[in-house]
Amino acid sequence: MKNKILICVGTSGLSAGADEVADIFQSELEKNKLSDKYEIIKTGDKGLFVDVIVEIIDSKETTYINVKPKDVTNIVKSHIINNELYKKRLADKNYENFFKDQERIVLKNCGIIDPEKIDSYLEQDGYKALQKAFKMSREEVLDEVTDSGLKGRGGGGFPTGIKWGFGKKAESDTKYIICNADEGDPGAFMDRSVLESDPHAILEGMIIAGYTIGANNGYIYCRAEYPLAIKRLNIAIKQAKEKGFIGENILGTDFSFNLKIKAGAGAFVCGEETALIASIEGRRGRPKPRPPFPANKGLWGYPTIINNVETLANIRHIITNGSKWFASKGTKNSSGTKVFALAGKIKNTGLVEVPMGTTIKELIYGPGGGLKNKRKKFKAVQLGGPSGGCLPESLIETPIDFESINKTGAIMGSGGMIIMDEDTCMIDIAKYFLNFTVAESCGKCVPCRVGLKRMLETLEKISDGKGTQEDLDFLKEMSPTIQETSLCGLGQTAPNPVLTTIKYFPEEYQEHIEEKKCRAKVCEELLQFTVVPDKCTKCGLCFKACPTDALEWKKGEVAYINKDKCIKCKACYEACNFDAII
Amino acid sequence: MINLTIDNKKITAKKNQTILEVALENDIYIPNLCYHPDLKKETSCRLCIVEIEGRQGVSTACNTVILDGMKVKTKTEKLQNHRKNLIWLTLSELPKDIPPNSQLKKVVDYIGVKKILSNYAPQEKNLPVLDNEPLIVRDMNKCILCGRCVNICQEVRETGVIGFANRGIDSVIATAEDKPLAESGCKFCLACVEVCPSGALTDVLSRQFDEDNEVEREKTLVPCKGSCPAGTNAAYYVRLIAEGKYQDAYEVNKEISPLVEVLGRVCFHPCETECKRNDVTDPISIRALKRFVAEKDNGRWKDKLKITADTNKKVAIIGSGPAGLTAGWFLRTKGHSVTIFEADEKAGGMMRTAIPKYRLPRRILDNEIKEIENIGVKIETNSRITYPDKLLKKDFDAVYIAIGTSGVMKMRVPGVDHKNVLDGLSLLAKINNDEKIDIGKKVGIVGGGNVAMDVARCLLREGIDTTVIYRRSREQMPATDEEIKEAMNEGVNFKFLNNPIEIKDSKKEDKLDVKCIKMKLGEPDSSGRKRPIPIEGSEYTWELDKLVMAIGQKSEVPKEYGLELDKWNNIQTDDNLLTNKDGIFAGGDVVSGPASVIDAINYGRIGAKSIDKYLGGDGNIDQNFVEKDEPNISLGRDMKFADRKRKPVKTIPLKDREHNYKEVELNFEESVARSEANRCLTCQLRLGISKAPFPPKKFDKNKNV
Repeated sequence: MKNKILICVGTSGLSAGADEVADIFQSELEKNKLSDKYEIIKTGDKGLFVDVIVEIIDSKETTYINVKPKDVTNIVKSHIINNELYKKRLADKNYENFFKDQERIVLKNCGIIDPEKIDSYLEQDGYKALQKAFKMSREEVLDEVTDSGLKGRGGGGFPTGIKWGFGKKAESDTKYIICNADEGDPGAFMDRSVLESDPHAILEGMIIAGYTIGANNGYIYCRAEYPLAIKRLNIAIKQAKEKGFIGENILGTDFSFNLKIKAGAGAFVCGEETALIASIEGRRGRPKPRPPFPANKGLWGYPTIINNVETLANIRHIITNGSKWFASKGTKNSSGTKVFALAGKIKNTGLVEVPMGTTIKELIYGPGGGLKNKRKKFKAVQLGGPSGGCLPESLIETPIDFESINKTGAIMGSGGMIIMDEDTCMIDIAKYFLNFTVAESCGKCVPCRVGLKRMLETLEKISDGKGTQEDLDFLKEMSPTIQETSLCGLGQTAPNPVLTTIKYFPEEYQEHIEEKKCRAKVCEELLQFTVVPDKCTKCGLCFKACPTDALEWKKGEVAYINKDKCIKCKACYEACNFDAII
Repeated sequence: MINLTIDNKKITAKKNQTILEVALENDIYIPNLCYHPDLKKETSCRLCIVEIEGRQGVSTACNTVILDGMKVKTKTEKLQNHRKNLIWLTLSELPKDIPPNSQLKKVVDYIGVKKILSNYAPQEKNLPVLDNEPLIVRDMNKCILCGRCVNICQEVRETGVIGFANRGIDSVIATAEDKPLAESGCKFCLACVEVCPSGALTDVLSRQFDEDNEVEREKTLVPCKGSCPAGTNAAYYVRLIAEGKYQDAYEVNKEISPLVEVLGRVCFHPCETECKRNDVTDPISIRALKRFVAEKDNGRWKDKLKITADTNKKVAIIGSGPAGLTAGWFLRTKGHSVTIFEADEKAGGMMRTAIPKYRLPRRILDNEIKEIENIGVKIETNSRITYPDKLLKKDFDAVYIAIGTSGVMKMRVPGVDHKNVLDGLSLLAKINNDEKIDIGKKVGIVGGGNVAMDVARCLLREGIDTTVIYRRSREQMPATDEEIKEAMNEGVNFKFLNNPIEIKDSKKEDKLDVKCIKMKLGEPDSSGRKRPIPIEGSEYTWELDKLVMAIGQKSEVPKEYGLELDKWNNIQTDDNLLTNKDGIFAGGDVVSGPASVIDAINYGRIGAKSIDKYLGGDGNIDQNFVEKDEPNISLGRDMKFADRKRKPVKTIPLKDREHNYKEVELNFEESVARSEANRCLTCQLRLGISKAPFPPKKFDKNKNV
């Protein structure tokens, strides 16, 4: 058995130079004649977004992080040849904490296996679940998935077993399974990571799904912005075909399954099932009214079941370990785990998988490692992307499960979680998400196409200091209409970021409207910097930071800001260490 | 059957119907804009939202299928509020001037406009108004993106000219790459205009009409049929020709008149003048298509011709022109005994005496007259009737006077009664009767109508140097374009903007000196044409052998008839063509003044209906030779459709026309006829599009939404 050197070469690793690191490792091993003792495994991302992660498994497991190409020679020399840890890049406590409280089911193989080698997957019991499923009847597989309580991880949270049941019940010789890999929420990247790190898990989930409902064809609808994922999926499909997991009479059964990849053109709305189907069919990605539901009349008019990447990644584990095992995790109504993409003002950004029911606080201060800037106060957490909402500190103890999150006005969504501190303006964040949905609205139905645009204009008015109470009333008036009358999920949920910020941060709206003030100092039109003489230490840091002549200061004197010359760049505000500039 | 309640009203409805369909059938109006009964459900306007007991949120009525026991509410406070908000949003990007008769305006009025933001100015799109294209004006600033035009173009017509472009708030309905409609495969069927609820797509101004007036609407929308004096359904038979159903196409014509082949040769075809294809390229060659099918007639219709059992009523018709022949034909089919009295040697009236043989070979006229006689119409030639009353007294029950206009209009210039000034009609009659004419070598013809052209072309065939003198310019000539072209082509000289002002003997023997003056065009006169004004000092003398007057005809009703005449000497009748004498009807040119064959045919039809009723019949002269079929509403793609030019009618070479009266025009070859018919814009398809459900005309503003 060779010792292993695992190098994360997912999209994040590659952007930090992981390929070069791996190449140098290879040449160093050869140079030192260690190639027969050490094997390099290029894995997908591990989840924590630091620069290149290298894990060496010999007599023990050692992790180095932020490895630069120039570190490699030293690591080989010190760790492998001299058997001494290379302390400079050794993973810190924080790294350990990041993984400590996670329970990895979906992400199990991420950073462990080589996604471009099927054997690497097979070593981790790959396709065992498929073999087991083939020994079960279709009803038994369906029951297992139903009993597990698995709910769709793409955002809707619809019970997967029930969905499959519709597909199985639909009478048709032709049926389709579609994997929805059109991950589009800003700040969400768990699907990409799973596709890049563990593509066979998705294929296995799809084949089992196909077997269960009687579908012989599958599509993976993956956004074109994920070229590495598409490349690895193609490799995986090719290898799975070679091994006989895909194709005619799989593993000697009478079940055949074929799979194609369809690259989406990058429209967010194509994540919506009916729009996604239209896109695969080569038509404009516009949602259609439901019913008919895709389970009855979907792709090319045939029964079609669409599951999200993360949902499908769970399937093999449910089949292997049983529904009871899965249902035992998480909460009563939300079983299993959920992957979150941590982003924003948090110390550890990356993918975290925790059991349902974990509180937001546990997530942020556990794996998340707390706020990035400890001097700043926590303000809000945004859950569920453009369809979700902003929750204040008072709701930080909310357990993460479908029901509890929905109660707050936010949604679980696909698992995007953006942490915000006091430097974030809530009107600005609502504007940000609305900008996104306005740009991504397909334009079909009136409430979404026109309503969101009018709401965005109103928010812009407020952040420009021109807002009135009437504008706030307008937002409150239009939101329910857009939520209730929009054709698809995009419009139905798009007002959530606005509504939750109005609900939980009313004082910020009032300040913008009545006092023309943005406490987070984000809304440029409202910025007006002045020096508080009592707090000013006359240090002159602000003067040095100011790129214009707006800041007037002489040694030993309190600084003064000339408003006519100020360009509101915030340089002085950020430079002052004494909160003397407000 | 399904039982459900809508707004507490118990309703039984057919399976698989939608809530909206059931509601509308039961006089429960649910507001809607993107719904259209002929189209797939777009569900984009969201106005037809309803609440269904036991279901969360709201559902759109247009696509929700009814279920047994369903309880639907269409007018709750919540729905009302949503609708008002949706209307506010819809209006928030539209110009203020929504067309008052549009569905959008009616729906807005019905739902009511809520004041949400004071002083809100709509964010208009500022798109260019595309008003320089054929037939359609596209003002996408007024578009509400309901998608009906796209659906009908893509899914029903399958032409796929327009579609959605851009997305979100920038969505717009456009052609691919914003190319003009003509370059995008548009077939100008105008279905898009028909289904547009907001006035974004409209007919060009000259085609606008009163939506509530169905007759005017059809006339405007299908102008070939609408402009035909006899109401011949040209749209229908052109379609049948395109489909290769030639006999059917012929019989559609035969239902209207017995003179189909004649019309195929000589009709002045207002249908072509009004053909909408004029706005795209040039009109469909409808007359030539009629000739094409007429020559193919296999007589199948004869078995279907309905002739009512004899009524023992007798009708006398005076005059065997198109009005008399048509009236005779239809009166006979109603079972009456018909005798046509013709003063001339042969029947046919002006068709025989005035129209040259190179335009209308006499065998064609003879054949169609023969068909009329074959069903039992008696024609007494060489029978001039002086006292119609006496016919009534004798043994006729009704008389129809259709003697045409035999009087000749004269110019009011000195010397007009000179012996060398001839009248065009008399000259044509002689030529058409194969009489020898001896009128010298150089002849001038005054006038710009078809008679002038006929005279000129005949004289040319007699070897005479022929010049037409006309006081206006070519554009104002009332003669049909093809007649003028052929006259020029054959070598007739033209003096436009010239007018004779005095005629006298020349110093040379047996010649005329015609004093002429040059003219210029001034402001339009009452006929809409530019008024010709003499140019002072431009007088000159023109030496001719003969001058022929072809400036028009007028009625000459014998005094002995004792009928009331109007100021033009035409017989005065009521709407049923009854004269001031009981039992005596009149029609054709003698009532209308000089007009065309097809006008006269229409008079023949009206006369037949009125006389039949007068004699106790029902006045219904319809024949049903052709079983009505449903047209194919899919037009398909053809990127070159708009470019296709009119197929020219081939003519015999000039040298073959010298000194003879051989027919000039040749018939279409079948493939040419088919492709010419296929150029048709199929305007009539628009009439088959269902009406979108508008709000009730009367409603209580406080109650309804």
